[in-house]
Amino acid sequence: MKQAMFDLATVQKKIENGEKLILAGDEELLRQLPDGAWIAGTIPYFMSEKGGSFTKNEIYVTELTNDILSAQTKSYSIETLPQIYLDAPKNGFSVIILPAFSEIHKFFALKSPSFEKFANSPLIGWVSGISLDDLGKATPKTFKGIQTHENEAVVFHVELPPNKVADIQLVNIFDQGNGDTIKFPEDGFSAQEAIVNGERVNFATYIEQNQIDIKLPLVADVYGAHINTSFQNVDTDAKRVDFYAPVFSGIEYKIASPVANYISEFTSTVPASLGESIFFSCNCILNYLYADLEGKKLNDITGPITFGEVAYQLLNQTMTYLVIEDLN
Amino acid sequence: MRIPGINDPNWKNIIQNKASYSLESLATKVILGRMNLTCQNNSSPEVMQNCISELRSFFESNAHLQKVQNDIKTIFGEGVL
Repeated sequence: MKQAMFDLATVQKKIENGEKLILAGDEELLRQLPDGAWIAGTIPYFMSEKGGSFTKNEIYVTELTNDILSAQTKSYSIETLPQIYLDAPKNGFSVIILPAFSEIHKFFALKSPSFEKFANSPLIGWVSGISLDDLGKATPKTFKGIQTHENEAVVFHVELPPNKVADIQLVNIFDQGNGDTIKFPEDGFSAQEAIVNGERVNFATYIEQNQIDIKLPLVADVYGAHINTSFQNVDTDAKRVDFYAPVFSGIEYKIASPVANYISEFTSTVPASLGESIFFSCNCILNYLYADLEGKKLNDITGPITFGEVAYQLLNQTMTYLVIEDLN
Repeated sequence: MRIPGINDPNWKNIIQNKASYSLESLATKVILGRMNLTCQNNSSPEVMQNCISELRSFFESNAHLQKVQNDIKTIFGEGVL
């Protein structure tokens, strides 16, 4: 299996040759592809072989090659998405793409941990997006072949042979800081109230008064997994804070510790040779923007730059990846 | 690998996050994270039993994975082998 950027004609030929592909690219390019065994999401930002890049002229391609037993594409509505883990192969993995800002994006973010057989098989993926210059003018899409969706998830269910296993991992350079402990009274993509060190406060006012850098995410420690929730906006007039992923009541969050240099932190965290063993990875648009990753490489790890990452559930400001290993 | 029965007290301990566990599998971590929240929101014995059954089922179907094996040993001790 391999991943790389290709021009439109090459991708068209791959599809016509019957290759099974997971694609990321600008909508205008994806609309010119023939029908076939492929899924895609719209995005013009990438971590390519040359480094972070913005392009509407190439498509990022992940090929499913001879290592797999079988693979099937499927689209899901809000009504059918809860069965995604039931549809997963017994030994294999599933790749999901969700359109940003859609109802199914929000539904997945809030409800996926409650899906039947949650995390019983590897589910990795990303949230499609658009150029930041097109916000408000275009909508993120997903594709299952030539079928285009604004409110459906698309999935490749991939079955592996018995001697192979898939494993999902995270690279999150953010640690919980040693500041206040923050809880929320309700689940949601926005919050007015928070409980800070046991005291109920208006969260927007708290952020403003404490001069919190909202480029740093909220970090939850989930049995040792650091799960980020990124700030979208602090509206001090409406006294409301919006997030790119939901906060959940009952979870204790802390603001992340500042990161001096994303690239050096990243490269010190990730083995230099990891890129060769990765089947699929994606990284967050916020890391791309805040760490100014355009033109910079991350240990030869490539993939789409996304509006959200999926490792069983929705994540923010995280690199997720999937490796396929021999079963010991 | 023999997965302990549902009456083993370690099931409840891990779901309630009563000690510091160093787990390896991301799937184990996120499943436990969701179960911990579920049991915080509803402390009935039935909810706990459902979580234990679900977690046991996850371990049974993924016990061939090295990281999951290591998590089982972390939770129940080396004697589980």
